[in-house]
Amino acid sequence: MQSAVFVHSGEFVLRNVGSEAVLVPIRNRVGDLDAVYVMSPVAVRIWSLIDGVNDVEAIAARIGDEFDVEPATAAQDVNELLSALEGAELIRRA
Amino acid sequence: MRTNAPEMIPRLKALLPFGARIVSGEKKVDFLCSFLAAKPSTRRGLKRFHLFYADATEAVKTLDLDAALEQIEVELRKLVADHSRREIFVHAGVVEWHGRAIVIAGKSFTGKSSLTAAFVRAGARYFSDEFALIDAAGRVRPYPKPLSLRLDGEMAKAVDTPVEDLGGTQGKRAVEVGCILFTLYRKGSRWRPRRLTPGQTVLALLKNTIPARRRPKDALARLRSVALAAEALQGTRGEASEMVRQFLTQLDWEVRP
Repeated sequence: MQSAVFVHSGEFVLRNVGSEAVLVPIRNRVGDLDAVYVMSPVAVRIWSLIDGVNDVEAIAARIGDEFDVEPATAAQDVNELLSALEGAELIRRA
Repeated sequence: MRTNAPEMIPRLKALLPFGARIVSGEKKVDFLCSFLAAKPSTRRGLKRFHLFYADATEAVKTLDLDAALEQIEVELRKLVADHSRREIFVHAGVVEWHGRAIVIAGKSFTGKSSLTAAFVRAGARYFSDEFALIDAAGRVRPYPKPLSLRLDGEMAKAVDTPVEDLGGTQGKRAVEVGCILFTLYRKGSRWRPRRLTPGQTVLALLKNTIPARRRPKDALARLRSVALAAEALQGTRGEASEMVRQFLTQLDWEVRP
């Protein structure tokens, strides 16, 4: 997964709320309230780095640097979030 | 709104939501609601139902006229709540305390009416026991309706109770939201809430927001304003009067004119 590159996928509404963000997927033109995400500041940053250019390894490295966490911890956090977002069809492999 | 039973028109008029006014001569309508009163059955064993359609959707079907009218009232309120452009409707009780709103978010049977009533008895100004109407500036507007209080237990029929019967008054102007409460009654529980982050607050409000599915962008924008301006607390509570007493004792808002 480390070399995989992702892009945002599908329709969604994203709104920053302070340092967090709330993401509501849109399915069949209505908000899917069963799959709303409240993103922590780290998740918000990961989401912003999903741009079809950065691969997973690069995203984890940026997160490790910017939030001052161990590379292994950063990689785990990034992988977990990407798996969840891919499962929810909010990102797809570029 | 149309019906096959002209004698029912006065009773149907009484069900129209707050702010409704009768117009005549309109040829084009946004929504067509139809109440079809059951006619007496001419054949033995044949049941005839009272029916209510909101546009093409069958929303009410029952043999009991009173039950039909009660459900129609709820359906009409939902229709307005879902399609209002000026305000976002959130399932909640609302009172004003010293110039700011306390919003008690929750759907039916979560105890929001009894908690709203307890705040009114403690001196708060009444806004609504059903909806918080959030305007474009993130303020909450009054939704004047009698409180629906279940006087004989949770599953008893709700009785319309004018706020004046509780010694309270009706709020008249929009105010900023000061606090949002997410709480459920649990016998013997003590109010020890946890504070929600703004993101968690938006999520919890979204679940109670009527047009959240149809208009998520607009709903999110307004809920964001509310969540950033107000404190949000979540927890179980015991008796409403005790929770209100404890809550107001701990509240440190400035008294505003």
